[in-house]
Amino acid sequence: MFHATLDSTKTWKQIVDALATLLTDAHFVISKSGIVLNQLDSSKAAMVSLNLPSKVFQDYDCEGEYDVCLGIDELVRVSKRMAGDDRLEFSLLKTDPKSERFDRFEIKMHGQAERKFSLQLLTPPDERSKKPELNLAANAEMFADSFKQAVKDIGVVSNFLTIKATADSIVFMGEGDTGEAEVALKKGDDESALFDLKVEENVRARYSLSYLSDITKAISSDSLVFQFGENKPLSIEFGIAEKGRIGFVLAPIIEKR
Amino acid sequence: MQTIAADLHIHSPHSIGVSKHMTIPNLSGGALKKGVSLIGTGDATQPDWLAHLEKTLSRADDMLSYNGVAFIPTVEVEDADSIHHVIILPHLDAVRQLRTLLSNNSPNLDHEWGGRPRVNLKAEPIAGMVRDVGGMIGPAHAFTPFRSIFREGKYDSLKACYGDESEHIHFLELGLSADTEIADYIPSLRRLTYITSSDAHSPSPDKLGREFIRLEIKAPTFEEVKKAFTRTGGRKVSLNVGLHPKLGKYYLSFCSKCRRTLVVMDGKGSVSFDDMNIYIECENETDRARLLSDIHKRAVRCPHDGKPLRLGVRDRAMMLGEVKSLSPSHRPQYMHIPPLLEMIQLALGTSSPKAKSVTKLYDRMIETLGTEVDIITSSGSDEVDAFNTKVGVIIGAYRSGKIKYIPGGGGRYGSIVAPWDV
Repeated sequence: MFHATLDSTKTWKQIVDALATLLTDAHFVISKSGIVLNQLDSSKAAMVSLNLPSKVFQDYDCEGEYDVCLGIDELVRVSKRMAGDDRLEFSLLKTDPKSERFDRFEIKMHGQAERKFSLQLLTPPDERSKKPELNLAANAEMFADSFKQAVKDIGVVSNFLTIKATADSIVFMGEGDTGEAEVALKKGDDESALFDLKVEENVRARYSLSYLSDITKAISSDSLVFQFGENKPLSIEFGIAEKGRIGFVLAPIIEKR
Repeated sequence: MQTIAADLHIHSPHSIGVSKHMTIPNLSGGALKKGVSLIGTGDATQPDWLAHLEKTLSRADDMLSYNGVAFIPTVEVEDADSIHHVIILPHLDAVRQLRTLLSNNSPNLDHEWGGRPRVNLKAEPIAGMVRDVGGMIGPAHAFTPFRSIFREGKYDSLKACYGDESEHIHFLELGLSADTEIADYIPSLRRLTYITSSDAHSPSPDKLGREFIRLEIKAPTFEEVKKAFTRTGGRKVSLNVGLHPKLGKYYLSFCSKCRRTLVVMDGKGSVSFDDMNIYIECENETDRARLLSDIHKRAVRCPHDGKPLRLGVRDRAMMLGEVKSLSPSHRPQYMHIPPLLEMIQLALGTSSPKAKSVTKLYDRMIETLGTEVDIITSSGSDEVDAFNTKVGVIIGAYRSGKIKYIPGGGGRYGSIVAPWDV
């Protein structure tokens, strides 16, 4: 049995938008403690993770643990039907009461009318993906808007974003056929968009700008934490609905085998 | 029973881009040299070509022929979904009947360039008309990314395209981009007879019969071909001969911007790329099926420039069907072999198959060893070696399936590695 309510359609839409940047179907694990998702995109270049503790929801009741797999296109279409002040109610249903398995994920929208959408559950993958343990040398916190601007700036000239971290600065760089671009952020400056920076050693790595453009569009918080290492993945994490977290892990660009 | 090589899909000078030398006498001459004894006329509904067929072909029993080469009326039509179909008809009267049925729905049936007429109807009613006049219809070059039934964004099955007429579809033309293995990824196609044909625009021996079928039939007539396609009375298609689809331009999935082609590997690693390819690792068949489905949904990006990847011919067939190709017991061997002129060109290292040294050797071999079909399918290696050892090595490598290919994709033709360079 699973039942939860959420007062904010904005939060739900932000979650669905974040998942839709990388996935074509979403594999949620719903348990007593909350809703978790860790999933790679099919080219294994990026991972999205979602952690919504039960406290994110106004009501939350779950007995047991369920693998709930839903098509992203369907989730997006249903989310578009949500009005701003609707209260949302989620539950798992069985179309055949005798069946042992739930086969529908129901989303009810309580507003001027009570509307409900029952989405067919897809077959979940055999294995649950885990969030990788990453030991990354550079750890920074900054304004989300400044990060988005940096990605856009580098996108003017390049398909790739190179990030360089030293003890007191982060530099975003890119180069292409038409020229080069660079965005530098200093630690310790009150005006700086970089709030915090911890760097174990000087590192740099290169990432796909198209992935980053889409990922940054899904960032809905004011600030974000990002970590990366020398030719290692880039991890970007931000908060949602106070107690929830959404994260992306993007593999570095590896050219030539 | 006779063993007959047949090329059932060609075009007349009334289709765009076709040589003016494409006449029945020239086709007959080219076919004799090649060893093809049955040819589809192509463009049969075009009035000038129909008049040429009536004037030049002689009729005896149920057979149309010219100088010992048999012809069956055929035409390729383009339907309202821009899908091409091959139509094979029993006689010239059936051509005239079909012309009458199509006339209200075809804007260019009588046009000078209406060899491949456009018909503003879906496949199902066209197939019904063909059945009404006693003919057969099947998808032309079924897997090419353009103008074909299984191109992306079109149909996922024979039934979806032909509707209730699908049960009367007996054959499918594989086209230059596919072979038996590719088509047999799709279970619903396995009952069909696959044909390989040249879609030739010229009667020269590197074009006519570039791909062909070998039939076991009693006579080169429509009724016998129909029996072969439906595999009745012991008649059958006993061999498909054609190019390896790896040589096609759209075999592998690809990035539409940078044209890098997708190589799917076993493993758990992240995506990577080099100047030619994108490497994506899959752990199992489910993983692979998901990847192909996501490429179809334009949800897999090129790691180099972020543009969505597009499905190639093989991956599209795998996505439509199963991840494993299973051929039924009736399926004949598919021999991957190019025209002899191209093999001689490779052996002599010339830049064109029309180089004098190439055509000279070709003519000498034909004069001594028989037709091209005989040489590439059944001549002894010593006989070929006597003319040119390298040609012998190439033919041997093709026949034994040991030739190495660099697959094409993203608009880049595939190529072979010369056996002596391996």
